[in-house]
Amino acid sequence: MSASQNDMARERHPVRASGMLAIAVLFLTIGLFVVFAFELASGEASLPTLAGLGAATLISFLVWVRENHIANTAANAPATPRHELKAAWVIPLQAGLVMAYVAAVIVSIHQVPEMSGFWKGFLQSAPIGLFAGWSVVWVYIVVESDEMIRSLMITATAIAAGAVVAAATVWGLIALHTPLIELPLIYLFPAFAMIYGFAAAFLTRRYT
Amino acid sequence: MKNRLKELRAELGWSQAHLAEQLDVSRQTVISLENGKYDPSLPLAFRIARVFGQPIEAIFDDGIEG
Repeated sequence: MSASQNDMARERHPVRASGMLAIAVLFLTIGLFVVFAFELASGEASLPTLAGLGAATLISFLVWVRENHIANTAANAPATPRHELKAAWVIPLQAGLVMAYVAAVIVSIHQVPEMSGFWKGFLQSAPIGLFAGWSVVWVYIVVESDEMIRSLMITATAIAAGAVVAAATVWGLIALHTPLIELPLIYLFPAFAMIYGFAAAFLTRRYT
Repeated sequence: MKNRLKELRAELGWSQAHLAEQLDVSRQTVISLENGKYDPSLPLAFRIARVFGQPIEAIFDDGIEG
C-alpha cells in the first residue's frame, strides 16, 4: 500500500479543543501541588481530596495525550517538523514525571512507615528515580540543537532556580524567628519544575 | 535587528516550515527571526546567508550607518 493510500485509509480528524484540555491539566496540576503543600505544611492528611484531584489530573492528562495523538496521526494533519516532534513528547513526559514524583512522595509519606522489604525500598527510592528521569529530560531540552529554544529554556531555568532559591531563603529567614515550620526540601523540585514550566510558556509566547 | 528574511523567503516561495527545515531550527525560531524578536547567533546567521546565497550584511541590518 502506498503512502497516499495509507493516508486515505486513516480517519480524517477535525481540529479539537486540545488547548482547553491543556489548560485543565495545568490548573489541576497547580491545585494538586497546592493541596499537597498544605498537607505537608499542616501535617494533616486529606487523602480523599488528594486522591480525587490526583485522579482528575491523571485522567485529563491522559485524555490530552490521546487527543493530541489522534490529531497528529490524522490524514489531514500536516507533517510534524523534527523540533516540534521533540516538543510533542518531551513536554508531556516532563509534566507526567513531576506528577508521578508528587504521587510517589505522598505514597512514601503515608505508606512506607508501615511497610517492610522490597516494597518499602521501592517506594522510598521511586521519587529519586522520577526526579532523575525528569532531570535527564531537562538536560536534553537545555542542550537542544535549536539555539532559540535552547536560549528560552536556559532563561526559564535561571528564572525558576532564582525564584526557588529566593523563596526558600525568605521562608528560612521567617522560620528562624517564628513558629513557621521549616520548608521540607522535597518541595524544591516540584516548585522548580512548576515555575520553570510557567517561565518557559511565558517566554515562548513573548518571542513568537 | 532588522532583516529581510520574510522578503527573501517570499521570493523563493518557501513556507516557514521549509525554511526551518533548511536551517535545522524550529518554525517557532523562523517566526521570531522574521518578526525581529530574536537575533541569531553568528553560526545561524551564516547558515541563513548560505541558504539564501547572499552575504550576511545583505540580509541583516543593525541600523548603524557606515
